[in-house]
Order: sequence, then structure tokens, then C-alpha cells
Amino acid sequence: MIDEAIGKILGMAMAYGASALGMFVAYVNYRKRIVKADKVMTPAAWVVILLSVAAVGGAVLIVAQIAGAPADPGVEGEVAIEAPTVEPEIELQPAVREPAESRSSWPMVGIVVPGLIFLFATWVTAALHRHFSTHGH
Amino acid sequence: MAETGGFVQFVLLDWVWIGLFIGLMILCGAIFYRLGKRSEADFFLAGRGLPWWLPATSVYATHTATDTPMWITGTIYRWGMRGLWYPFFSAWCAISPFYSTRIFRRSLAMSQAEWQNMRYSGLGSELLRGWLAGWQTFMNMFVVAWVSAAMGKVCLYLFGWPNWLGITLFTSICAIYVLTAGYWGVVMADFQQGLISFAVITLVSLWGIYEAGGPVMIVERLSEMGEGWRTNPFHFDAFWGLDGTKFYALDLITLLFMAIFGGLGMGNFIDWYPEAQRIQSARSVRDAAYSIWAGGLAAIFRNSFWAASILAFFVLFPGIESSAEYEFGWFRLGFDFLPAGLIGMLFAAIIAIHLSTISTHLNLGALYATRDLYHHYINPQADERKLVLMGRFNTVILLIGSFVLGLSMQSITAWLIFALWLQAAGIWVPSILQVMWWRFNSWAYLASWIANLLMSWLVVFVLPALGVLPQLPDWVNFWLLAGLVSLIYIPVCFLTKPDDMDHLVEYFVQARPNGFWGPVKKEAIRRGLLEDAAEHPEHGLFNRNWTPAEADEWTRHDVIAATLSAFCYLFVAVGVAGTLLLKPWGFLCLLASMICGWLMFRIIDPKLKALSVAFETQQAGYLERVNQKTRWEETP
Repeated sequence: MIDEAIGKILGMAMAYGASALGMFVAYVNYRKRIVKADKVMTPAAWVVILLSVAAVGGAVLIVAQIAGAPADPGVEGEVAIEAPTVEPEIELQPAVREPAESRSSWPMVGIVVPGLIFLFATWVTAALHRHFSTHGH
Repeated sequence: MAETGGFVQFVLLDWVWIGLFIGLMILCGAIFYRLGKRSEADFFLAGRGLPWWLPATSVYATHTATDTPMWITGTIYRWGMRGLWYPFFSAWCAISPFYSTRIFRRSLAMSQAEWQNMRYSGLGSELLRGWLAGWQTFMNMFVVAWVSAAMGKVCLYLFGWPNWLGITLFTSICAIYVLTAGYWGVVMADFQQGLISFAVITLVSLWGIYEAGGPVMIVERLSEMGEGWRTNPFHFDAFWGLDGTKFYALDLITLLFMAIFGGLGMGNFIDWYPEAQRIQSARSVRDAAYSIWAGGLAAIFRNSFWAASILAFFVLFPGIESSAEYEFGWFRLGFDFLPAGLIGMLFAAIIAIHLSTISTHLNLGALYATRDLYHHYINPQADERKLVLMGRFNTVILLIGSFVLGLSMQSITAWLIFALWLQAAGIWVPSILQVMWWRFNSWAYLASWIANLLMSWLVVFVLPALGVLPQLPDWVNFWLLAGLVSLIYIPVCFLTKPDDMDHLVEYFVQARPNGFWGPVKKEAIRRGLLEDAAEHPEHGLFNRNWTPAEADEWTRHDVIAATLSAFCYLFVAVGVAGTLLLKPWGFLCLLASMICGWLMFRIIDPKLKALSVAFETQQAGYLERVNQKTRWEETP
């Protein structure tokens, strides 16, 4: 539960952090280009900003590590992340009706249907390229 | 013959088809390299010259992500046919073509962030542009991470592949043509991928229905199991209530209201942002309108195919408790029952679905980073070559960022995506107000975004976790958030000044918004920039002779077309699913949808043609002004 709550906060903090950064860049530009302030950003202000960004980024990573949010195979039914997993986690229920006849009774369908779609898609590709390369686009 | 350790047995023929289709998809995008590198507008909007059917298939393909079949299978398996209403949010594409799409296309803004700069003035508009540019750059990276993680799960399920391989392999393949050809590659590959996925979705769904014994048998079996209500899309547990495990009529009313009237706004759905790019890539206002309309309708059509086939899946696999298991239901219909060769094609279609979503978001994120952050703020005088180069650079950054997020923070990404949908509630009304009401200003819209952050956390996450609030059903959350956020932005709106009238008049003359714009319109007429609509004659419903000035005005034709369009969507959703189950009401609804669509076209098409022609004569001048604004040559 705590992982989930921290994950939500971290995710939103990163998203809103990026938005706030975009807004800040906008503010600096507005001051520079419209208000015509000589020095909108002093070197000290840049240092503060860089430190703030580093602090937020670092905090996010540290909290994520502490909370065990990343690379935790058990969280919320997520699949394992690092180790190659050979056996899938879900126990599948068998169908009421067995698909026994399907695979053997349609031998040509697996060649004809994909073949037709492939040929059509190839023709579409060629036609699109010919049209847009030559009609003044 | 089996080649993998997962659930599915692939044979050589399957691998052959997979290889051929992947090669074709990459080729389709990459051969447009020469067109994509010409300019910023080519790299991100395909030169603004596409006929409607290309962005339309792109809208459809983008609405179909790797996790979409899992999500829709989950809702239908749990709720029966009434689960169709959850993915019905695509119905914002019913009204939007005749309102917000037209306004946005006329603005010529490359991105939604740029539009904020045109709609509003002064510092507030710049702050909004920066805010949305940062948000969208980051959000598109998150979406790529999320969809790649879903692909990782599918590959784990199919082949037992390690997660990192499923996450990175196909997304990297996609990056080949996004990097080389930009939006040209995206939209052309989307067209091809949309066709492949549509064909395969139809095939697998019909195959599943056949395997379950056909439509009549499915309905009979459901009745025997005491689950007959599952075929009724209007089956409610009660009119209203607070139990999140039940489906109330108020759930449906909220979903329909939110979906259909959402088309009046800009930015109230996460899907708006990619569709805004498609709108601007269309060659005319008319093409933009039809691209959104047709793309959204195809998504509704597809949902109904899925819904009918998931009922078949329920008959074949009843009583599955675990959502993690039944969400794979549609995939199982294909992988368990299709013959060899078609299984490979089904996987190729899954890759197509994946690539179409990934390519869109890679290019879109790069658009915001390049056009709004780099071009507008960092280097306004950059030439086209440098802008295309930055577009490619930003695409790589987004790709790497998405891998980092997808591999190391999957749980965060999942929650964030949920939060994104949730957040639509708080900004839903403001996103409409900014289009419809002249007095709504940038500070109010910015306040609604920031207030929404706090409110949504409190109402949905924090207070329930602390036990202060119970877990509320979705419809209550929506209305509660909409109400709470309005307590912030309405006072902010009235306590701050309206936008500059000169700026509003300029925007009004170009974009022609409708709603509550009386004072601005009056001022535009006073300055001689517009004709007075009162002098125009009244036209019949099926009028074919519109003058440019008449077509530019909003008339009852627009309202009637939008209404017919909404009914068309509604009837398609119910009608296609009902028809696939051979229900008489399904055929009737399908017929009604065709009549609504035909009437809509007859009423609105002549007007759309006339206004498109009129606007195109002025487009070059408007476009120059838009670019001047981005380069700060025309001060806001």
C-alpha cells in the first residue's frame, strides 16, 4: 500500500516537475523578450535552479529505491523485471470447448489470408509513396 | 515445431509472416525519409497537406494500443455489453469535427501548447504554453513507457521473454522510421498498420464467435448460465448508488455526457493531443473534420467487434475470477483457436498496434520539445535544417527516457496513466470554457490545472488511503472533482483581467470560435474585419450554395450535423455488437446509424467545402503570423 502511495506521488511529482520547468522557461523568455529585462537570470539564480532540479530528481530516485517501487516483481501483479522469466505467472483456465479441429481443418487459410493482406499492404505502401513523392507534396 | 517457452506454439510459417510484416512496416515509414527532412512542418505535420483518410486511419491506429484489447476485454468480461460504455469516450470525436476541430484547424497552431499562445495573451499565455509543453513532452515519454511495458507483458505471455526484451525490441524497431521520416513515416505506417490491425481484429473476433458456436449459441448459452443480462448494453443495477462494484444508470449518463460533450473542448481528453496533430496535418478544414469523425467512428466500430467476441470468450471460458487472466481473453481467442500462419499474422497485428501508438507518441513528444520548448524559447531563429535535427534528437531522448521509465518504474507508470485519465475530470469544464467563452482567461485555465493536481490526489488517493473518504464510484469522483476545481478557477477568472481585446479580435477573426463570444465579435464587426451575419439570408437544411462568408458563420446546420453525428456513434456502438449477435435491435440500430451518417453528410458537407475553400485563400497569411509569434517577431 505504501509503495502504491509513494509511486503515485513520485509519478505526479515528475510530471508536474516537468510542467513547472516548462513554465519557468516560458517565464524567463517572457521577461527577456517582452519586458526586456537586462538580466533576468543571475548566475546565482541558475545555480539555485540546477540544484533544485538535481534535488528533486535525486529525491525521486532515492525515495523510489527506498520504497521498493522499481524492480519489485511482486508489486501489484506486475511481471518480473530483471531476470528472464520462462514460466508465465498466470495459470490459464482451459476452454469449455476444445479447439481441436480448428488448426487441422484450415491448413491453407494460414497462407492465403496473410498473403492477401500482405500483398495489399505492399501495394498500398508503393501507391502512397508514388503519390506523395510526385504530386507536389 | 514449437519454438518458444510461452503459452503459444509458433511454427515456421508464423515466423515468416511476422518477419515479412515487420519488414514492410519499417519500410513503409522509412521510405518517406526525403519528405520528412524538408522542414519542421514536414517532420511534425507532413507539410499540412494530407487527405482526410490518412489522418483518419492514424486516429484509429493511435486509439488502438497494445493494452487496449486487454482493457476492453476486461470491461466486457466483467460488465457484459454495458462495458461498451467505458471505451465510449472516443465519442468526443462525434461532436468535435463540427466544433473544436474546426476552430483548432483554423488556428493553425502546431501543438495544443502553441494554441494557448494564440487564444490567450500576455504572460499568462506564455506560462500556459510552457506548462503544456513540459507536460506533453514528459507525458508522451510516459505513454511510450507504459505501452512498451504492456508489450513486455504480451511477449512474456506469448514467448516467456524477459521483460526488458519485450519492452525495448519493438519500440526500437519503431524508432527507426520515426527518426528517419518523422510524421510522414508515422502517418503512412499508421495507415498500413491500421488496415492490418482492423482486418485481423475483425477476423479474430469473427473466428472467436464461430468457435463459441455462433451468435445464436452464445446468446442461448448465456441464458442457460443465468447471464443473459450480458447481452444488454442498458442493463443497470440501479439508477444510482455508491457501490463501486455495481453499474448504475448514472455511470452511463456520466460516461455519455463526458464523452459526447467533451468534443466541445480542447485538451479535456488525453487523446486530444495526438488528434490535434492529425487535425493540423490535414490539408483543409473539411479534411480535418472528416479525419477525426471517421477515425473515432472506426474505434467505436472496433470496440463493438471486441465486445461481441468477448461474450464468445465468456461462453468458452466462464467464471474466471482473476482480471489478470481474463484480460488476455481476446488474445486467447486468436492464439488458442486460429490455425498456423494466422497466429503469426495475429502477432504481426499486435506489433502493428504497438508500433502505431509508439510512433505517434515519440513524434508528438518531440513536437512539443522542438516546436514549443526549443524553437519558441531556446532558439527562435533556428533554420529548418536545425529544427529537423532537433526533432530527431528529441525523439532519441524520449526513446531513452521511456526505456528508463518502462524498465525501472513500471508501477509508477501504471499509476500515472490512471491518474491521467482521472485528471480529465478537473480540467474537463475549463477545457470547454476556453473554447466557448471569451472571458475565460489564461490565469483561470492555469489555476484549474494546478488545482486539479491537488484535488485529484486528495479525493482519489490521499483521503481514501487515510480513511477520511470511502472509495467512491467513478461517476461520483468525476462530478466531485469537477465541482471542487471550479471553486478555484471561477474566482480566479473573475479576479483577473480578461485577455487583451486586440489579441482576442485577431484570434476570433482567424479561428471563428462559437459560443459566448458576443463582445469580441461585435468589436471585430465594428473594426470592419467581419461581415454582420444578420445580413445573411436563411438557408434550407440541404443547401448546396454557400458563399464563403455565410459558410464561416455558425448556423443550425452545424448543430444538427453534430447531433446526428453523436447519434450515429451511439447507434454504431450498440448496432454493430447487436448485429454480430444477430439481435433484431442490432440491425435496427445499424440502419439508424447509416441514416444519421448520411443525413449528417448531406447537411454539413456543402458548408464544409465552402468554408474550407474560403479559409485556404487566407491560410498562407495566417501561417506566416503564427510562425512570427513562435519566433517572437510579433509580440503577444
